[in-house]
Amino acid sequence: MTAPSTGIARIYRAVMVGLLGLMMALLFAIMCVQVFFRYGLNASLIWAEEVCRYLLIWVSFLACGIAYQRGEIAAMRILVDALPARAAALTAVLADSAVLVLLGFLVVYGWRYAQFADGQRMPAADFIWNDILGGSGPAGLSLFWVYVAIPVGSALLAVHVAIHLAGCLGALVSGARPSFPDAGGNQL
Amino acid sequence: ADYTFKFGHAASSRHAFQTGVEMFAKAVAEKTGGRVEIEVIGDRQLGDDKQLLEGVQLGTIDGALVSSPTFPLAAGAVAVDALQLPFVVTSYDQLAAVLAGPVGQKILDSLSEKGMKGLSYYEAGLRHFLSRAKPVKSLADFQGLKTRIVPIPLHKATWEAVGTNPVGMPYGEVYSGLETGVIDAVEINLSSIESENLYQNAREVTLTGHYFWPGILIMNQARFDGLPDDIKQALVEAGHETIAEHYAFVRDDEARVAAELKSKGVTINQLDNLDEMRARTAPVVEQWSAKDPLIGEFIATVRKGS
Amino acid sequence: MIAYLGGFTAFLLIGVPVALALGLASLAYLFIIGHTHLLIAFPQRMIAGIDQFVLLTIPFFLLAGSFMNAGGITEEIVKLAQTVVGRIRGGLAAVTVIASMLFSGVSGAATAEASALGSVLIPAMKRDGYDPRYAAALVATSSILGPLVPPSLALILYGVLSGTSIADLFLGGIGPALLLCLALLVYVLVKARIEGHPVSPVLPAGERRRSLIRGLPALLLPVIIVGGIKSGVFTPTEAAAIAALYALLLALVLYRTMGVREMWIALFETATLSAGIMLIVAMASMTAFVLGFENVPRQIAHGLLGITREPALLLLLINALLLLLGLFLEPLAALILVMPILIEVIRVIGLDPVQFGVMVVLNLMIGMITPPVGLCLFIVSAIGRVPIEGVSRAALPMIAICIAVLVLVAFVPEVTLTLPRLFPQ
Ligand code: NA
Ligand code: NA
Repeated sequence: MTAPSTGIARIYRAVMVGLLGLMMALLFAIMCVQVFFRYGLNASLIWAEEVCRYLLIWVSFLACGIAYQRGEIAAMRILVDALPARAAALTAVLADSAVLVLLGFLVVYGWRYAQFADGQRMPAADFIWNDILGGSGPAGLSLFWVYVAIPVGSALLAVHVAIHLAGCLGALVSGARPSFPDAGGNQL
Repeated sequence: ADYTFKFGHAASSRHAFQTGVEMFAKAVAEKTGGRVEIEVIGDRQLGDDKQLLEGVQLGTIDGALVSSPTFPLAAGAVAVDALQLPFVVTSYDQLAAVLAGPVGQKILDSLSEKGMKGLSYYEAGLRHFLSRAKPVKSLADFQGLKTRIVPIPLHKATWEAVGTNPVGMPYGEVYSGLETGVIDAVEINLSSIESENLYQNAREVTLTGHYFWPGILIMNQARFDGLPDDIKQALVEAGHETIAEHYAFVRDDEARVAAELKSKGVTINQLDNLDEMRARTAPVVEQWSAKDPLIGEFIATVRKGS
Repeated sequence: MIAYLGGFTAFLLIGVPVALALGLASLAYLFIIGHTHLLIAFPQRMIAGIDQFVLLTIPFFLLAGSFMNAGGITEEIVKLAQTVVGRIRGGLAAVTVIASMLFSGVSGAATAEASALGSVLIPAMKRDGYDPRYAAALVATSSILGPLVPPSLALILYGVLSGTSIADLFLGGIGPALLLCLALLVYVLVKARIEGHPVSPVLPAGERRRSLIRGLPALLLPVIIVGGIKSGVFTPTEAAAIAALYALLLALVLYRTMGVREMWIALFETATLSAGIMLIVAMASMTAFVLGFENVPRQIAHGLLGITREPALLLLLINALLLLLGLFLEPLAALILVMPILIEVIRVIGLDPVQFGVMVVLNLMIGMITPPVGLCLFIVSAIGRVPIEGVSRAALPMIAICIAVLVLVAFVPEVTLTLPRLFPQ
């Protein structure tokens, strides 16, 4: 499945390429700089490990939707491929609906969990503040800003799945074979 | 049993934390005539410290024994930092007495507003200093050593004051970190040096005894509140009464482990002047005592008693 | 447990992606046992699953592979393999095996290896007249050499979860990898004789020399990785980032084949590729919680120990269990799931933890090339545009070879432990 090449889809893709590329670049830079500081300068960046973990969480959830579109979220299609067109479409509709139910739960409970974590502070935020500006910084950033990646990412993925579901419903009506994201086609 | 509760902890099932929760479970069973059964689930099967603490707050886990550094971080329970101020408490017996006294109870009670019923304290062991290359015998020997710590503000401030280069590294990587020399040292309790086989890679121990490593036994507040009064009382009493028992157990175990380590070729050193190290970290204690009234009260109680 | 597996299989069959099928089965299970108050544990466990420093190896090994590909380093390695093999019948198939062995010193994951080498070698083999199903199956099978040779994501994960020396695991994997490489080489050359496969093309002398000069720097990577870890410059986790840095420097400075734009796209594509894997890790963490809640790993371990305490027999049972899991699960997810069981059993078997780790990883990697869920199979079938059933059938004899090597690893300690013993700490 390819996203409709509307203006919104183009902007969405451009934003994702920019954001995800930037997060990966940051992750990459922090890991390498940390090695240099600890081994080369004998002055560890105590916040490095923590910040990397947070970035990984964000990258993982934010990229799910695009990964789905690119066919990089592995699925088994043996049964669907063996079925006649209409039955295949019906099966795909079932599968997509089930996935949407799961994502619905993840959006709701992910949001609740992020709110629950609002009381938890990120020590890294204080450490970075100290390292850069000296003295003690303002009371730290809340972990809400990390964990909110789950509802955001799940919602984005849900949009992609919903678009696919619409395509499958169309196929069900017209009797055509449902199409799927091109598995592995975009691998590396 | 009328009630069965699952209590988790993140240490291995051979760790002192396991013994602590088992002591609690036994005391509870005796006091309730077997009406309450506590199932102890270790080995991180219910999650690590942070997940256990969250789980208890959220009610997905009945109860857990959680390391004290997790509380300020994951629950905003600032007062718990009192338990790990450098060089404030000097002996197992002294700490057990304070924890079983009014201040210990106040700290437990302060957790209620965070959705946790604090029941007891069990100890993982006094912390010392393990280094891989050279023996650390004076304050000068600490300078610039890449030392693995738990990356929380209190410990970072403490170890920077001593003069080390604190490194935040996941616990699981400490073994290979010492093996290859990514880190030079780690601040840790003796029993972990033995149980995690760290002595294979680092053989110089300095008995600094800088702070203890208490765990707090907590239970989901709502689940506790929903229990009949006699059961509540039994849980509270069981927790309270086993503190001294467990601290005595860990104190004696430390002596055994020290002998064990020596027989495995580990050198046990003393610092030539511990007061120097204490003086270096005194400002950290000063700074932290202003963070919560309970911390100030804790320090005052300890100093009055000794 | 049965309900969970049933739900998982059903969702998988109707085409729900593996990661989401794990999640849906957990969700359904919570409703079936009536523990809906545990729903809030869902996001908590997903975060807990991902929130681990060691998992950063996933994006960085993928990134290294991505830089290698964008920078044309993969083709240099293939040319180098061609130079090594020379003019023989079935030569290009042999090149595939050797290139995989060389590339395994560069890539940390079988998926990265299958996609990188597959995109170069499957078209080349097709062009030479090989059966595309055979070509795809061979690339998929050879790709499991990747995680046996350092750098290796799976070995790192095993080392961290079990507290085993990662440097020793890295050395331990090399022997079995060489053995498997040799076995596959014999297989493809014998098959080439019997079926009259094409003779490999030979590079002109100038290009041969050039391939040595340009291909060798890429092959220095494993030396840098193992050397850097052993001398304490970086941790095994950080080594993944250093690998990516090295690949970046090669592509930007030495080969000058990559520009800033290609670099950015490589970063972006790494993010989406990792997301696909991290989603499985997150959902597997939820599954582990659900199973742990019912104390299932303990029960299975005790069940196994109840059947027998004979080490050899236990070893067979463990391998059978892992192969079975490997049919359905992605290896990292499977590793995280079964680690509690393994830790219980290894105490009884008394096997060297390095040998045990290499065995477990090889076993789970075989799962990457077995249907129904085999990530490497998916990748090569997509690249080669051949149906998964055809590739699976062509892979059967190769899977048999892998299992034979697995048996050797399980029962002959020297295969794994010779190297670690040669280079003690
Ligand atoms: Na490798
Ligand atoms: Na499989």
